[in-house]
Amino acid sequence: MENKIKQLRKGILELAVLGALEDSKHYGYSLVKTITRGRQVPINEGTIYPILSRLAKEELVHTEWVESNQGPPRKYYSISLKGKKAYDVLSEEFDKLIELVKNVKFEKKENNKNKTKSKKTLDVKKEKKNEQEQ
Amino acid sequence: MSKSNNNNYPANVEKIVDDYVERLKQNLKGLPETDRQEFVKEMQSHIYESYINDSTGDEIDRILNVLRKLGEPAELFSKRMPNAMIKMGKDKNLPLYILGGILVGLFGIPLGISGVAIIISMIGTVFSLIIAYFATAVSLVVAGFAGIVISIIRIADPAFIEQYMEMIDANYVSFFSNPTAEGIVGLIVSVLAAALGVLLLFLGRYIIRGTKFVCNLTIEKVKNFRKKK
Repeated sequence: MENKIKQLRKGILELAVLGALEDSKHYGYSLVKTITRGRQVPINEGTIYPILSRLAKEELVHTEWVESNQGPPRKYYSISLKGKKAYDVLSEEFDKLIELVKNVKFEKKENNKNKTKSKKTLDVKKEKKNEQEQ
Repeated sequence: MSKSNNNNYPANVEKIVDDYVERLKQNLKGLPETDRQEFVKEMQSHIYESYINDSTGDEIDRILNVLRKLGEPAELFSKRMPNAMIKMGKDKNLPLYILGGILVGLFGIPLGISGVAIIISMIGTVFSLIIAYFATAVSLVVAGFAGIVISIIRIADPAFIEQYMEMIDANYVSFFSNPTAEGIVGLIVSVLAAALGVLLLFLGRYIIRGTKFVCNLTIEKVKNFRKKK
């Protein structure tokens, strides 16, 4: 189960990283902040770096070391043309998949509602019957 | 290279950061030098940025919170490792690194080069044990058949062996009073040795089969693993 969650996260995180980089360039820490937006996410911040290094290897992002006013230099990541294209394709795919999952979930809910409804109507009928008999 | 340049951490915080970075470096052994330096630099940057933006409690709380959020060096590392190691092995054409990468990937342990060395020597030991097993079996068969021949000669022509025994040891006195009895006992022992040798060889088939199975399993796992990448 743990593994499944990791797999799911990895793919989605990759998409989130590309999405955030499409808006502006980031260094690792600012990227983490942008993606999580201060929310508590049960992942190590460190997981973002393997993703970034993979994206860099696939040339979906460019990297650049920039001196900082304070503290050590930052490694900036910016999206490449190839990365932008990949993001468009992937996010479209993602939306489709989300739609799919939502539909399944929605149908399940509806089915459950119907079940409880029919049960209720049955109960009501039974009660009426009982009353009549009495 | 200074460990954490222009960070301006308080001394006790700097100590904790240095310790973390040191552990990180330990875990990164086996990566190409440039990759390692770059990764360490990036982590130092992350720690610094995270530290100055953190607002939980005092400085020690802050730095510990930062490192906890970042994750343990070993964890950080094992996620990167297999890929990097396999790539490195490809670049340098070093099967050792590929093997190391696979092992790390399979077991999820950052073994490092010394770990790879241990595994290699373990494999070597297993193979030499197998070789020793077959050597024993073959020598038992050979010695057994030779013993059978000598024993038969001893029974058929007692004097023939005697002259050779005297050549080896002038004071040779047979343990048995009767050469025929000696021959028969020799024959039985020899037949038993030969039979044991044949049995060992026969059982050896299973060892070979088992080894083959383990090898095939490993190769298959490796193939799957690389396909996934």
